[in-house]
Amino acid sequence: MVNKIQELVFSFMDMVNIKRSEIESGIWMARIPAAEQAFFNGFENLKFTFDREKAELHRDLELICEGSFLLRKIIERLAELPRVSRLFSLKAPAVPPQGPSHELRVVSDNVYYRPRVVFNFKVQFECDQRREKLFSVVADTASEALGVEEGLYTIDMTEYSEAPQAGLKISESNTDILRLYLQACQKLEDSLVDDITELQDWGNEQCQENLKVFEAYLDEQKQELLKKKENVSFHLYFFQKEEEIDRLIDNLEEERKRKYSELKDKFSVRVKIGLVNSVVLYTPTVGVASHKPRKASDRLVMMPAFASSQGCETRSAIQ
Amino acid sequence: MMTNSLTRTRAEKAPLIKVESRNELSFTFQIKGKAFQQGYLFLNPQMKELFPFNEDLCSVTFIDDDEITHSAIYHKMRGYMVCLTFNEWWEKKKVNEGDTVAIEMLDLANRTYRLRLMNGAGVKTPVDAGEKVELRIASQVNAAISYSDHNLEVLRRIVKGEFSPFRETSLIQLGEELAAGICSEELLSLKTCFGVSTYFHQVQTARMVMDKLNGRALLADEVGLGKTIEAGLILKEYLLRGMAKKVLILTPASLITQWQQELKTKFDLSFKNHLEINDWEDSDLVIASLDTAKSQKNQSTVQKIKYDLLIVDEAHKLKNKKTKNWKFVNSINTKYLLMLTATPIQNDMIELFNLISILKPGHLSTVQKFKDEFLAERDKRLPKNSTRLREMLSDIMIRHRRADTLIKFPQRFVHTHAVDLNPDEAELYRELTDFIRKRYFTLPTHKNPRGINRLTLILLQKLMGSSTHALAKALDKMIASNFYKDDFDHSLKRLLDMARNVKHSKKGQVMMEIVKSLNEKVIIFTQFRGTQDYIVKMLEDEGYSVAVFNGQMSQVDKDRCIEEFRRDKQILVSTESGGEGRNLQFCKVLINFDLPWNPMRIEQRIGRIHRLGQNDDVHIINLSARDTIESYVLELLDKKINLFRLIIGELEMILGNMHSKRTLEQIIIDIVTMSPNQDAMKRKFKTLGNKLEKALQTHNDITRAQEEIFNGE
Repeated sequence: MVNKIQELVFSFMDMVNIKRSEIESGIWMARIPAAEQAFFNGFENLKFTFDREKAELHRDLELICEGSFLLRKIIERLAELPRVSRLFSLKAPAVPPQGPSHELRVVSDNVYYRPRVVFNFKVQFECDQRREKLFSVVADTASEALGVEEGLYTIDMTEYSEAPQAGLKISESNTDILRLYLQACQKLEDSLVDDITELQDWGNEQCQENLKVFEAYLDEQKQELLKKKENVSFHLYFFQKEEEIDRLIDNLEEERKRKYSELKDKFSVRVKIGLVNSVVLYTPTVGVASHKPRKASDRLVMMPAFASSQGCETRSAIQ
Repeated sequence: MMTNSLTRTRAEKAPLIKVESRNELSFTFQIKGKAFQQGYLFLNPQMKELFPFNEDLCSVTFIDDDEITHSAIYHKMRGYMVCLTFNEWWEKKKVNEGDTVAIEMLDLANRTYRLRLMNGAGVKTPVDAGEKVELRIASQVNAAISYSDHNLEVLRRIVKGEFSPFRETSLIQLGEELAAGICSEELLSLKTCFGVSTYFHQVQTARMVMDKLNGRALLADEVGLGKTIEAGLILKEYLLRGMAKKVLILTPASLITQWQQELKTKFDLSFKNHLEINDWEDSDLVIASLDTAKSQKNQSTVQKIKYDLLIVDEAHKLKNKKTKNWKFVNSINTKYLLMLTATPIQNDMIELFNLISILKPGHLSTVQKFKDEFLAERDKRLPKNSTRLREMLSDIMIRHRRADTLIKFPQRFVHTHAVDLNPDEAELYRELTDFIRKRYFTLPTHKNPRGINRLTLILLQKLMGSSTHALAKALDKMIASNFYKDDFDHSLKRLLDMARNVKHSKKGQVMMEIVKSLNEKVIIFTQFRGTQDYIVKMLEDEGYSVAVFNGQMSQVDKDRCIEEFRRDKQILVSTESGGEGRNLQFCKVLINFDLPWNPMRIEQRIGRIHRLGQNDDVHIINLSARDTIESYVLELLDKKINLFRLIIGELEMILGNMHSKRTLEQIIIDIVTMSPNQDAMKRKFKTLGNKLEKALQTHNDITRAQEEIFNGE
């Protein structure tokens, strides 16, 4: 964990042009540029460590570790950056997967890049308690298959390059990226149903339990007050007493409303889905699955990013 | 490039929809082709005017006649929308090609529109466009789900082909993976708190409150077991897990600074008090006294804010349901609530009922039923059905006893050295005390602003109690300031001469003898820098290795000093300031060269070495000059309330039983300054001693009663 935290912090510092040096074993000094000082709590020079023991000994050190506020701030800041990348597989060409209608495969000697889109999602569940889960949805534009996996998609960079192989072209896809994203969201939501239902059941149960106790408490108090009111005899003083009891009953009603909304708020389920990043993976492919003739509306919407990407000419996959 | 031109051309040349009517807030169109059924809505220029958004991609919500929400993404550049549930609507409404559909704007800010079928099988009577609709922005599957706006920005980058180097994209991923890994079962707060040894019972409490008690609990550990640490752990955990943002701590005014310091040094949390904030609503981490928060000025503001966590220290102050305190705290809107007290019951079991009623109203039923079921008839402090009561309390209250924790609490041994001052010191002491007593009744006025004010007089008295060197230094400064004129100046000069003529300090000599007899690390405390300089010089002249710690040092220097003391140096000479939270358990001998009149400060000194984590017995050595104010104070604290043998936290509870609005130090100051002579002062100290004895007795009674209630012993 420490190594990963260190890697993250150093990469972040590199990204925002913060120079650092190790001034003692395990202790670093970073010179914070003016533009970044507000983020680093006003520090011009930040002395930091990843080692708790060192931080215990030198209280002027910023400890960056699991649970430290600075680490959380860095992660939150990174999460605000919308980043997408594309990677080209270095593997040998393979035939494309079959589509949903199990079309025939037409194999030719043409090799091209077929795109798959990886959507990495973060799902935050909140209902009195809070937890996070990470998911990836991989959408294959050729087969139109979408697969949901828990955890972010791991990419082995020894199998990919950021630049395409010379001579290989990117296929024109008829898939609409917006639709693909919505389908990915739908698929993800389907996979979350059990989690959400479980949480909602728990929240409802807790809320009902609390409300039941509270309602009984208020009702009993109300009954006690009404009983008192019944015993009040007819005298001016007692009319005042009656008014006072009525006021107390009104207060109870106010209390009921307030507590009800407080409990509902505390135990209602909120699920927030965030798209962490997205990566388009291009796989060298030989041949295509033959599609049924497309309707005009199908052809209208395409993945312009793939088609218009810098340095890649667009052409039909079927020659 | 090809695709762009193709789409534009087709959309313009052969639009698939035809607008039939249009006004400022709605349009109708005839459905042609299969695009809508397949989830696409192509907009022609007239329709686009109803979607005046700047972003390339944005979310749009449609609500149909059945109040079902359809989420769509609008691709402005290409002039179309995608919605996966248009198809469901199509089938449910039995829409046919050629039917007319209306889209009405409901809320431009929320980008919400009404989707309505105007003719066809599933048509309902049209409703007024101004009709109020309950808006719900929801996902396709579950109303609880919402999507981050950030998602569309990621999507836009793919659509526009704005790719970033993979190292940046994967860095975000690494961050999220770390964050997810961090949100584990372990307490994150443990990993980032400093200068504090956490114990099993504290961690257990934090876990229990968060996992089982839904964040609402009465923390009622016996004194000395670290309730503040428990509250700090829970607080930080909620903050780190993003479950709390707005936090309010209510504590007695006298403890605000202590809480602020502890939260800063131990948990790296910066809480602001009411003087440091402009606006209660804009400040997330606030600490205030109950009186300040419930004052007329602030009350309604505090009641309006939705807090995530409220911590009430010394919660036994909410024992009475009829008080403003109880009503105010009960009216604060908060998701989580921690109430801290070591004495949930002081005089009456109903006090406990009232505390629980704030946390979970109804948990112990109504007052009448509680009385019937749990109160013994004769003694309102004693319960009946105590097993059942304890069972019910376990759902809302956590109480640990020292005996349960198996923590070894080392003993405190106190050694008081009563020192006879040298004749010249004694004479100076008498002169100065007389001077102060006389001057106290001629305090500065408008007519005579150059008198010595009350605080300065008290300070001079305390300096004399510390050392003549500290006194001489202060007098020198006063005279040099040229502020004190005439007879004041004359008197001050005389006192200064006397102080300078004192050759040897008796306390200094005794201290040196004690140090020589010890062969281990020692901390020597003094209140004043002047005395500190004197002690350091004396020790260094004798060849001792000395570390010096005071409030004027930088953080780096303080760290270095403590580290030097831990590693090499035998003696640390420290003023009180700035020492909070520092780990000094490696030392077990403490010398009080002088004695603060505020017993809480004495306790803080002791707490530096006698705390959870100290494995050896601790020795406290007090130097006290006979027949001085310090000796009377020492007698009060040592003989009447056994200060030096108390557990951390117990002193505060005993002093609380005095029910005085003034602090003990203020009472002592009044005795010193208001007594016309030495005998009168002694009498007043005696009376105060009796009050302290009573307070201790009350404390012992409460402790016994609680044992019976909570432990059946």
